[in-house]
Amino acid sequence: MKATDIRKLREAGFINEAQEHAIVEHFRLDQESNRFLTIVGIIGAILVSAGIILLIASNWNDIPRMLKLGVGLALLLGCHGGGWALGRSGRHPVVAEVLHLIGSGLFLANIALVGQIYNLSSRPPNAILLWLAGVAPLAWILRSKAQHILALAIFGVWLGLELNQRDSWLYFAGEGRQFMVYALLGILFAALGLLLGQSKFPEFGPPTEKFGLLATHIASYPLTLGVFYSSEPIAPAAWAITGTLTAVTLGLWVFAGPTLGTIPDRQWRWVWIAAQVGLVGLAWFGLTLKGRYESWETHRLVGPHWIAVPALFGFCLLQSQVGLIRRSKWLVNLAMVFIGLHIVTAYFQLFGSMQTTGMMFVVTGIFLIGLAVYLERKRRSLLRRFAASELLPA
Amino acid sequence: MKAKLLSLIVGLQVLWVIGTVIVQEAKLSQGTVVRLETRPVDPRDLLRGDYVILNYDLSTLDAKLFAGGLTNRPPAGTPVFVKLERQGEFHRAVEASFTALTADADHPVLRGKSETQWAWSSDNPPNLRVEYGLERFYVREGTGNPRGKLTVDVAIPSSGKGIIREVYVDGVTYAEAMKGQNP
Repeated sequence: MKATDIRKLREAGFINEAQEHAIVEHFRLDQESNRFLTIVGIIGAILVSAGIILLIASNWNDIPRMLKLGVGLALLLGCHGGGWALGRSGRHPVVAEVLHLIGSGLFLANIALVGQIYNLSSRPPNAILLWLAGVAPLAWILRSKAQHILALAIFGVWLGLELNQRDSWLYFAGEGRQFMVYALLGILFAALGLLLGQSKFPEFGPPTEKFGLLATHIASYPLTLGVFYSSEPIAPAAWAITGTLTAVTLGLWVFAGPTLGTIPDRQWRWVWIAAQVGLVGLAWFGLTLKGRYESWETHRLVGPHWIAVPALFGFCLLQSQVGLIRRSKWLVNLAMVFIGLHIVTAYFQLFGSMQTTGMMFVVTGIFLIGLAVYLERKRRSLLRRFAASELLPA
Repeated sequence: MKAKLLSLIVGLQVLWVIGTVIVQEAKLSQGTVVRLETRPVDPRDLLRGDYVILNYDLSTLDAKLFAGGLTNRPPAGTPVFVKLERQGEFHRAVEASFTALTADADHPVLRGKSETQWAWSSDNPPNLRVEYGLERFYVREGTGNPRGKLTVDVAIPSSGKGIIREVYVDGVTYAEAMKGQNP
């Protein structure tokens, strides 16, 4: 449904202008046409910021350093000033957002420029943390979802750098198993998104939840690989980090869970909360279970990953159901993508044995067909209940 | 209100840049300038392009420089204070300590922090690997592989945290030397 469709209904006389505005506003149809422009604009902003940073990194010695610094600051101020002016005029909101994004990128460029000019050898995470401190408040001041996602991404980058910095309090060691920290962080962001949806900044809720779920899926994917489980030692501090993150995540889900108004069915609400808690458990499973890596051939057939594969597969199925209930295309699409990925991964790990692969595919296929029939019945039942309830417009 | 908050945040960003520039420029202009000799490094350690890794004589401190020698391995990141004295063309370490040393006109004190200690044995007295924040020199893209002897002018302010003033290749400034090597 697009705004133009509603306009056609008005022009045909089926609805009046007031009804047209009400429909367009209720379903936010006027934002659909801007979405492509927004995405292209954001990509453009990232490219411009990255390009400026690369130009700085190429280090034009022929330019006097004060001139370089002056230009860097002028660009920073110019972008934010231009973004503010355009945003206030209301005529080009997307361009305004893009300019502010470039301005945020330029703060990192200026940090890099100062470090380069004066040959400062500070810890890399410090620069990223400084960038985060400078940029994070802008999301709230400008009420910009793009700036908010940028801040979340910067936080993730900073955490990753600290986890790998030997002199850091957060040094993790354990190489691949630090992915579990990112998985926990993703689950935390998902809970945070639900809480934000109930706050004074509800527009930040959905993107935070989506970002969190995407991060969770990506970070937990290695659990499906047999070679992931190793006996690399983890730094002692890592347990404290992971424990703290787990406690905060579980605490948020305890507070966020009951507020899941987007899932009207109470049973499914608790199923979704339980699924998140289960994911936390799976992350600890990946963190604590030790194996001894020998070869791809040794690990592909037998190993703990055959617990993680069905667990994550089941989580994706639950997510798709929750997505249907919440009418969220994103949740459903994300779940479908990772279902496909998990199936392909399992296939490649069983490759070489047609019998085992065949059995697995038959069992999984029958299960999926049965589940699809069940879900379709549930979906129709839900829609019938909604139609009969007062919540839906006549 | 929104405009004020935006101005405040962007203003703080600009202030950080300007403040850092002022601090670094003050170090460069007011600090005692010393010339340090670099030790040859494995060419494979030199990055091609973005920055040159600098390794100094001071980067490895002999245990004898410490009063009482080195008996315990300090944790990585422990502050190390090194008193320098001019010997010929270069400044060299004459004393080191884990507590602050007093500098004077002829003996500037450079501050660093310990890295992991090399293994020691009865034949080789222990020594300590120290990092001073002077180990990177950012260069123009594609000019990170100098041929020649590198020497470095470092400005040392009262805080002891040195800052690179200039790097020379066989006595010529780095930029000039690389123009000659990479026409």
